Amino acid sequence: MSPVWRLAAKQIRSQWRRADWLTLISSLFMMITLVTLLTTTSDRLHSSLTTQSAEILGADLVLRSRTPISLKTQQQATEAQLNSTRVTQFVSMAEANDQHVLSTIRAVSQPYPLRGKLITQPATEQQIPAAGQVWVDKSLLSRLEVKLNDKLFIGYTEFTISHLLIESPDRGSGFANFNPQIMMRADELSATGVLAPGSRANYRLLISGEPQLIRNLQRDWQANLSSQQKLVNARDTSQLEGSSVADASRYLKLSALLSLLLGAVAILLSLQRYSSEQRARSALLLSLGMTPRQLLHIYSLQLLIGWLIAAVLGTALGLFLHQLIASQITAYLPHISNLSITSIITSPLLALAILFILGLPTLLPLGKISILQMLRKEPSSGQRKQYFACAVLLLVAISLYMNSVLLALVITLLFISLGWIAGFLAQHGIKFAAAKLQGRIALAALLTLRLRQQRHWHRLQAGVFSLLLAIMAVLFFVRNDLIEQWQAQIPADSPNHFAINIQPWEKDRLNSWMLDQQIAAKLYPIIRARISHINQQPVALALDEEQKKTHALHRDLNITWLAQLPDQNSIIQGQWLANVPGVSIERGLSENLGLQIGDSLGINIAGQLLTATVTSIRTVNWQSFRPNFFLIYTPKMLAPYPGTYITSFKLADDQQAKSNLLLKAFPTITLIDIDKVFKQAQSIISKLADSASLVMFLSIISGALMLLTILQQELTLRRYEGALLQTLGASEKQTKQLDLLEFCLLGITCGSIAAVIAESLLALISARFFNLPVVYHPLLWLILPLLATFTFTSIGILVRGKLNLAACYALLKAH
Amino acid sequence: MPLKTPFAIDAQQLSKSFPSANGDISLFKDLDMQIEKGQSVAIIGPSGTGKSTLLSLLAGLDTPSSGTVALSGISLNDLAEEQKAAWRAKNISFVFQSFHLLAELTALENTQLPLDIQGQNNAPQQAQQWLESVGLGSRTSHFPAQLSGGEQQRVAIARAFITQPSLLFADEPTGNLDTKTGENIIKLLFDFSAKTQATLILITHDEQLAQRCDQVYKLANGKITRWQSTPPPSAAVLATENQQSYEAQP
Repeated sequence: MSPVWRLAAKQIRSQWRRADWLTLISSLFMMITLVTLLTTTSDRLHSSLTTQSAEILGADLVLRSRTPISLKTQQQATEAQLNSTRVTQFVSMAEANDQHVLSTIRAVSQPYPLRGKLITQPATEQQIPAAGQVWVDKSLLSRLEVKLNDKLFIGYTEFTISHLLIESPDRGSGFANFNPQIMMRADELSATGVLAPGSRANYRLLISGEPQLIRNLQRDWQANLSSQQKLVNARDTSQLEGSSVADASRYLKLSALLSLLLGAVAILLSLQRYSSEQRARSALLLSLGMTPRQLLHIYSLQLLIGWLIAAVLGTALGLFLHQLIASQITAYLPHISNLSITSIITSPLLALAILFILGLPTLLPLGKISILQMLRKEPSSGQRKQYFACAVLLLVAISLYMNSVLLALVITLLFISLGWIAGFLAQHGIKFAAAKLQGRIALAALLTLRLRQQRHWHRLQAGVFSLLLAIMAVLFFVRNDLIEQWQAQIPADSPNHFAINIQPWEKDRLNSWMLDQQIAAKLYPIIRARISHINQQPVALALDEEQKKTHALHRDLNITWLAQLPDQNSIIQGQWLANVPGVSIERGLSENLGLQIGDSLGINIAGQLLTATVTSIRTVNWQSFRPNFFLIYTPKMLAPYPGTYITSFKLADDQQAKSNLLLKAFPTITLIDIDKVFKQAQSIISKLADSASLVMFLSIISGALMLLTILQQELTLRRYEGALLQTLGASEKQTKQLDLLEFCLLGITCGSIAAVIAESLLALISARFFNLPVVYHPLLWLILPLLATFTFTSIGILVRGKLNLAACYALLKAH
Repeated sequence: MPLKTPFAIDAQQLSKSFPSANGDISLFKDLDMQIEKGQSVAIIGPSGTGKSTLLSLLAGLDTPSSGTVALSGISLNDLAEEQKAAWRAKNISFVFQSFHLLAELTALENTQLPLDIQGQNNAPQQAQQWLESVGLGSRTSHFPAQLSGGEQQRVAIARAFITQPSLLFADEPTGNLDTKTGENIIKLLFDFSAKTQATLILITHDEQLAQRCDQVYKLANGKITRWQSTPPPSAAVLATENQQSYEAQP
């Protein structure tokens, strides 16, 4: 080993415990942990929801449809020398031991699946369940209180639970899989009686075969797809881009950006302090004949080793936390994709880039130190150009990470300007508070001087900390508000059960059952349809770009026919005409589509076009928890189309047993318990908020670390000032009180500003996004200042250390 | 309350040692010094003999390993921390070699700092008067970086006298200044000490400067000796019995 490397090794060992070095490593470590956590989670969420590999789809090509897929269509696939199989998926009740569980049922026939592999427990060679058997998700067992080989009912048919579904392709898409899944044979479906014409179900045709043949078929079919159908190719990854999933993963990356900026500030500050502490050492080594190049090697090596340690530990912790979050959300994903190596190494590599981007301009000047300048203890000259270059490079690195220069720039500027405003307010807030204390406490004059001396640091500390606290508080309170206020808004007598999939032949029997049981419930017929024409023109031609974005155009609507205007609906234009063919339209939809009385509206019902004249425009109370409809037709118009019925009713706490009675009497009905849905939503929101809070908590630690770095930065000055004040007659207690007073003021001001920001954001979120009344959070105004004060004072006292009189004098002598 | 004593400083059997790996190292042992009020006393000696340590013991900044120091008849060690600080704030001031002004405060703010610590209200007015008396009346709003070395030391002197201390400790006050500027500073120090009847304890390398004091002591090899020159021994300063020699323990 050359003498230079020996010296490097010794230097690294001896400087290991230096406070500035430790803060540098800790900042790197926190940054790598957080960014690893956010990158892996975002990447996994994205790929789990959008990856269309054949193993996940169970096929090379899938035709998805809202209406049954005809045999003719399947024949076309066969004629094209491709394998195919049909799948029907729907939601219904599974019953065992008087327990009813809403389940997602997949009816399949052989061969199944066409790609990928089903894993069951116990393992089996069968492709699909044997006659009279079903395979189920493990979670269903506990919810139905059954075990393997027990029986369960779907509709009118009893099945034996023969296997557990451990892994399965073709689970469906999106976040919809909240319910446990059941797999049954398609040839046993009709006997259950749960599906009838007009029932809500997803139909899929899985296709596999030669890639070229698949492409040909896809090309042929693509042009003729109906609005109810969609083709998904396992090789085509572009189809799900731009969806809300992309937004979610971008949101996670934005959180990562905040961590990156915090980390960069902490790293820059600790590097500056580290390099200024190294100036004397560097001058000495240079005066002893070391070349600047060798010096740079030593420091680069030291940085590299520091990074390596932070990278290993940070990545490990980040991955551990990722698993923690993943275990919370995987239940809601159609499948879990593996972690990609890229997502794991992104964070440490980004940290390395940032370390060197920030480190080189700080350390390079060490090799250029004039020995004389050093001996005279002259300050180093400014390095503005280098820092400008540094900022540009940092932005480039962040843009690469975010995949967008504009987004990186906008968000960085947004964070910086918000932080600047918060910091500015805090600094003036503290000044104002100190002025109020003038003449009331002995230390007020000194405090004023101290505040002036520290004003730049106060602004930075307060800016970062107020923002972090505010975001954390918003996350914490928004989850409670959402659920509590939403529930509080529902009138006490609102229905708490929805019954759907009621077949026409069950209608009269159900009505009389309800009467017997003294349950007030009104049955509404429903038919699924999609708006296709306006004034005889297809919507694509009839509407402008803005109107085409109307959500109701892009999904199937539940429409109904009624002789009487339902409760909580009122006509605001036109007339309710039960005998004249026509349609009554909801106000919001009519405004979005620009529809007036007399306009004609065409809808597509299972491939058939039905045109009607708009005869009235209604307002609807969407919060009533009763079946509500965008479109209500006159009875005669819809009578020929197959449909089902829906109803809602209220069961008091002591009437809950009636829901079981209902399902016993009508096994094919799907019953949705709103209270349970609320609980499920609450649990999902809590889990997501927990994950977000974990991220924010780690950001707060990063913020605290930055606080620590800043305090260390100024520690020498603070100690010097403390020493001078003590030799000028202040007691140790007084100087301590001065520091405490400063930190308390800083904490209270930061906390209060954070409370203002958080309260405003919460009000904005409630009012704008959720249409909920704005409530105030007194607790927030208490907790945030307390939390901030505690953080500032504890870190301040920790860093400050003790300074007795003798030490003061020695310090002044040495200065 | 101060006792009726003629001595500004009464040090008895003063020793200071420091722990080390090979046992305690004694800097000096059993020093006795009595300095009468209103006198000026110089302590000279080579570097590293412990002049500054002796000064910090005499000023009550540090605690001796053994022995006692009474300032105006009060043993600071017997006082509680707060009382000690309050007494020091009123009675003791320092002038340092490197001035020790706070860079972010103006000349006026630096001068008023001791009064701010005591919580006095008319600090700015008093500071203005003292700056005028050191010839810096027109520079009150200047920051230390905008002042020359001599001017900075004059601010430090104004700061030292603003509390009208009974004891002034000056540790190499001209060490960072050229001869002419140093001369002016010393003149100010002596004039103000005489005017306010403060006892001046001066630590210096400069023998000529030392000779301007009423008494001169030399600290070397753990011993303190009376460095005899011009003025005859004053009753004010009694270096007790065999004034010469106190063996230092290696």
